[in-house]
Amino acid sequence: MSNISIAQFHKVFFEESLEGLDAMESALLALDEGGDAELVHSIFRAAHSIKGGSATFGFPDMAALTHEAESLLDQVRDGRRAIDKSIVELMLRTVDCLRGMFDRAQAGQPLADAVSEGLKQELAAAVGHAVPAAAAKAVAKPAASGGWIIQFRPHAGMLAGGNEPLRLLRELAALGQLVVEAQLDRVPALDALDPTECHLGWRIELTGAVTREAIAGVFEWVEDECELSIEPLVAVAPPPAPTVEAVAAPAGAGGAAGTTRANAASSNDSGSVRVGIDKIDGLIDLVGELVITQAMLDQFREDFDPSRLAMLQHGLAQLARHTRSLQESVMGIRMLPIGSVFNRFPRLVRDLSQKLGKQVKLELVGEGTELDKTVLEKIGDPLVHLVRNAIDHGLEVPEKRRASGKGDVGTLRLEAFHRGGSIVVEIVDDGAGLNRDAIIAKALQKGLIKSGEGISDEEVGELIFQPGFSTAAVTTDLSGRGVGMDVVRRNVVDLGGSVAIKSRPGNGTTFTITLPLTLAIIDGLRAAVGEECYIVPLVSIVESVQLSADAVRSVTGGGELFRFRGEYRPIVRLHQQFGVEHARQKIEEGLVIVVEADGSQVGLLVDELIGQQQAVVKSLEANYRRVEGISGATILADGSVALIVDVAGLIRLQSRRKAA
Amino acid sequence: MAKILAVDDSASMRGMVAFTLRSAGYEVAEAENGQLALDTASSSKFDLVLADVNMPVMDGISMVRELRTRAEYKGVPILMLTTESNTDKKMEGKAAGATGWLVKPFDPEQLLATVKRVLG
Amino acid sequence: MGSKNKSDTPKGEVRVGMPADFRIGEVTDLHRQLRDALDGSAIVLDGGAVERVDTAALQLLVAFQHEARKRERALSWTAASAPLQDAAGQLGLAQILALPAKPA
Repeated sequence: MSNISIAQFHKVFFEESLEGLDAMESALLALDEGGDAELVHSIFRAAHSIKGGSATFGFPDMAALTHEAESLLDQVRDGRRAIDKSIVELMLRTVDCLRGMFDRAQAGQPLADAVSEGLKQELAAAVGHAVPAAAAKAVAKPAASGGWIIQFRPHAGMLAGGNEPLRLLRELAALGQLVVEAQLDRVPALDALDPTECHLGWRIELTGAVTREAIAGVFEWVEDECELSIEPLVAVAPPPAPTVEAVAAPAGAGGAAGTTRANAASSNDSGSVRVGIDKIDGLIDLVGELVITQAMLDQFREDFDPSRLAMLQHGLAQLARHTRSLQESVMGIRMLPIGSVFNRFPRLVRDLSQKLGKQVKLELVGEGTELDKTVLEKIGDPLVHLVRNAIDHGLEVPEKRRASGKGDVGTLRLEAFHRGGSIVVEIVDDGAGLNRDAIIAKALQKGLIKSGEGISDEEVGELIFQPGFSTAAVTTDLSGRGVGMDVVRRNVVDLGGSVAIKSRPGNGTTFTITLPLTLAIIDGLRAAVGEECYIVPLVSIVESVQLSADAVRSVTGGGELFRFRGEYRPIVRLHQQFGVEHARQKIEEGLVIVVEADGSQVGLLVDELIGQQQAVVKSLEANYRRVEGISGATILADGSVALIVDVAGLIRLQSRRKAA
Repeated sequence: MAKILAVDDSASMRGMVAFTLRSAGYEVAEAENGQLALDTASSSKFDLVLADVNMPVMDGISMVRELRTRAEYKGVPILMLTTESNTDKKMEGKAAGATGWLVKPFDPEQLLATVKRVLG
Repeated sequence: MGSKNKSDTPKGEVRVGMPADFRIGEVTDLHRQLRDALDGSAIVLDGGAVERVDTAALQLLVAFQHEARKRERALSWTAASAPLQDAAGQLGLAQILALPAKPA
């Protein structure tokens, strides 16, 4: 059996432990604000799980550290010690240290380092004992005599509790030679007997070189459920050399217990999703429905009678409905609550505000809002940046807040919610708002604008997203880490989303991130361009318009503009952009789809619209190569391929062309 | 072959236990807390129950106490999966009706040896 | 088992068969059967089918044995399986139960 490799459970162990650490951290922070017994309990449970798992899965250094942490938490849980800031602090550092250990474990590196060793000592000191040396195993003493007399009388309830005297006697028999004498004196008359209770007793003579500990070990589980005495056999001549029959060692357990620790360092990280049972059950139900519908439709294969057309239509409609639900449910498997990302902020906000001498109250709203796993993984960094930015630049120090008639404590709200087919995440602070003058001055200095005259508030907000605006010079190491808001925007746009900013001078700033529900499927309009077919994502579409030739105006440099809702927008001829032949050249013969991304609008010229459809996105990059202005491809019902237009990418291309 | 119910909120621990036992030919059902274990134990009778102590929703001790009130689980071995620091928990578990315990950490060999010992 | 040979044949021979799984979960049922069996003048125990047996079951047989002797019923075994023999031997009850020497 030693070929069972424990290493295969490492990945699951890492995942659940990291989740446990997140939970521990949140609970510790909540405790910081005065928590209750249930919080302490949940912290204890997380530490306890990690300790048990790390010991089982072969990470003794981690087990040793969590053991100390658990002991300290145990004292808190029992009320032997009051929770105070120093304990919370110590535990938070332990959480960080354990995260580091998990990183190293995943990389196959040694887990312990100076930090973890130091922390272990600190925890042990707090618990009130020195770190014990590795427990010395009691050396098995040889038997003091040639045997033992064991008196064993179970309590009446022992059988119901699952401890079977038969098993205990068999285990004793494996230790040496047995003479068993049953004691029946307490067995009631048949009519009075409760046959599930035990009224028997035994006197057992065990001969052989057996230690008392070995015998006590057999009875370990029933100490509290029986009367037991173990006395050396007397009146026997001094034992001869251990007899052969006494050697009968317990079978099994013979193989070396050397744990086979496979090197998990190079495990490919294909990622996994933990799915709630309810979601799986929902899927199973749907598949069941689908099978029923299929069986119903199957009847038409053999004999189709036109009179049953209505039934066929009904069946097809049902099939369409179930397919759609199934698709939604399968997509739902990839959806995870944004709470897992929000969870890191209490700690971040606490540390950061302390460092900056600001008082910040963090509000998290809509933590249960679900996002595609891929989006979720990539949205963390932009959010961290925006939160840092809000605390660093948005919220004021208490004196300044007081001077503007606000309370000492600033509020930072992170809120996630659904809007249409999108997820919106807002980062709202009640700080000073954007400093218009400072931003214009900075933009002038960086050469991003030529003059500060007549710049709207909206444009000021846009300036901070310009590449080259945020540099180390304006951004402290806290919020910036050398990364600008342009990177935040690019990251969000890469996810198919957008970022907008709204400043309320003196009252705060709101950043709004809009993200697609999923990356795997988009709703789009199918448009014909020559003999090709393109999908334009529905979320980006503002309107489709038919233009007359005189509505378009050519500008120097070859560009074309059209007037839409009172403003001029550039036209992107898709056939030109993608080199498609036989497309309609005249604007008035085609159709212009007005699309929007990142607050800019352009018109896409296509031949005509074919219709709306859902497109399952296939990566072009993975199957071919990256193409500018194209975000992916999809396969149409007739088997042909259509390319999906990357609206944000096209707009970026367009503005670059304009700038050139 | 005997049917075993493995109850633990830790997926890795539960996975290891279930995998080890299945490899040895046992039929294994899994539950991630005491409440779910009770539900599972209602729909099918098990020859052995292995239960973690600390679990959300319903802990192992409460689960054992409830299970022992059912006639069909009279005499069925129930082992607590516990850690050495929890001597009190061992006794609390026993008082609730557990048969015995298996101390974490344990490796697959120790697990199988104990299961064989209990199931005979 | 034992559906027609109950109190309607008070002086006759009663046969009691033991189940394959003769353990604590089954003893309450067998307890009733054995008490009913005492109505017969002669009781024949059949333990040939027993595959699994525990202390609760053997204790029940001990109590029954005792009661049967007290009431002067003729008690005999037609069969006792190897697992039954083994368990009785391990618990020191083989002689008291007067099991047949070898599995029948």
